[in-house]
Amino acid sequence: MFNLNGINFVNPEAMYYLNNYIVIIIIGIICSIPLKKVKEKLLDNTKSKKKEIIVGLLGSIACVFIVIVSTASLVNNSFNPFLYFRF
Amino acid sequence: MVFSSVVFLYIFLPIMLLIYFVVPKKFKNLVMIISSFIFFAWGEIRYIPIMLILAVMDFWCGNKINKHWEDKRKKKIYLWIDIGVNLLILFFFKYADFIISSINGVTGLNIPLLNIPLPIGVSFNTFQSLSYIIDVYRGTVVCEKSFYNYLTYTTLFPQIIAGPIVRYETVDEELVDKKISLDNFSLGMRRFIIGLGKKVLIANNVGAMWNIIETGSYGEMTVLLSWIGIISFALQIYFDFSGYSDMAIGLAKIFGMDFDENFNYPYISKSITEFWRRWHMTLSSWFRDYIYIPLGGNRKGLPKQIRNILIVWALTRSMAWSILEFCFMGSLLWNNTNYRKIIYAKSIRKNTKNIWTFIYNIACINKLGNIRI
Repeated sequence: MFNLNGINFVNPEAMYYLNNYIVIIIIGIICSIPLKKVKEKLLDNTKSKKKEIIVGLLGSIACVFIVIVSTASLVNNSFNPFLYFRF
Repeated sequence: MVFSSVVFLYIFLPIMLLIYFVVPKKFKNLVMIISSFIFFAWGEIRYIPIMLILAVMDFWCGNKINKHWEDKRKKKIYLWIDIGVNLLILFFFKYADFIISSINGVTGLNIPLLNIPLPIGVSFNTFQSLSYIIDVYRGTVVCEKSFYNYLTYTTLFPQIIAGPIVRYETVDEELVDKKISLDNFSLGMRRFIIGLGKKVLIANNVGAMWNIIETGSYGEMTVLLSWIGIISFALQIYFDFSGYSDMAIGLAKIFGMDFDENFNYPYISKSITEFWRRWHMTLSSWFRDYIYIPLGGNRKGLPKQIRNILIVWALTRSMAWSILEFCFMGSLLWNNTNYRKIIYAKSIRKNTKNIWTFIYNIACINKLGNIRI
């Protein structure tokens, strides 16, 4: 991991994987961090009723989106390991 | 059955929800019990008799403790009967073959291994039972007088296979009086969907990346690839476990119950102690309250401390991952001895504590992932 064995830093294969997966990795990293400021802005309901409705609607649309895409992923029999097997 | 599957999302859950909400209040627990049995039996039917025996034992011992509240000796006997049964089951499934093969190795005999597959959720189930009986003994909760309610609690399908460890005191009122409302339904549904997204959209995908790297040959390894691999792995386990917990919490909310939170953004931790207060909180608090503290925790000197850590280590031994052993031992020692003070005292600025913790975590994950540094 720190180039101690004299292996290459990068090779075409690594770049290929990086290209394919960088987006999901970044999304993952962002979602691992509590974005307090963004949350505060979104959930601040005292500002206007209209904003409250829009935020609520966006949330619901996001939920529907997640369900649809997840279902597609599951129906597709994609990689879906169950990590709890040894517990 | 798993939450992230078509059969659960589109067959089991809709039907079950429909029946649950239509049925009158006093039958809701019955619907839960039957659904939980179906859910569990879908994948693991052999364990069901044992689950039932445990439920009966816990319930019976709990009531006996309550009945003989003034008699200290009798209370202890019933406590230890129940603990004994639970531990027997836990260790049998986990260590039977290990013990047999050790005996074989030492004595040269050739006793055939039992080859018992580990039933899914046996640890969570026994840990939950233990928390119940210990809480009854301590007087933290009043024993459950209705077997119907206790069986509901112990077989609750949102948590039975992989869920957060739900202590009896968390749901004792809700077993009788569910908080069912449209608000709770939508909040719970939202939480469930977020968990589903975490598991299917994020965890599965980064997990695929990690899987490719893990099974690749060492000759093709590069520095960049190993870092991508480790980050993918770290993201996979976080989103998989926290996603599953979210789904469990969301489901419970829909049914009118409140589970405790299980993950609190563990990767922003500034210290290992903090990490364990953010990662799988129900499990670490279980260990703290029911094993570490009763054994004296860190207050009885270093030898006992090490003994306590070893006991925790033994219990977590085959919980899949050496990460648990390693990190638990590490964090408990780290937390409670002076080593932490020595190392941190080399004035690491507050901002960089984040990075040190993360590097330590990476090291643990490293050990698990067998990626060589």
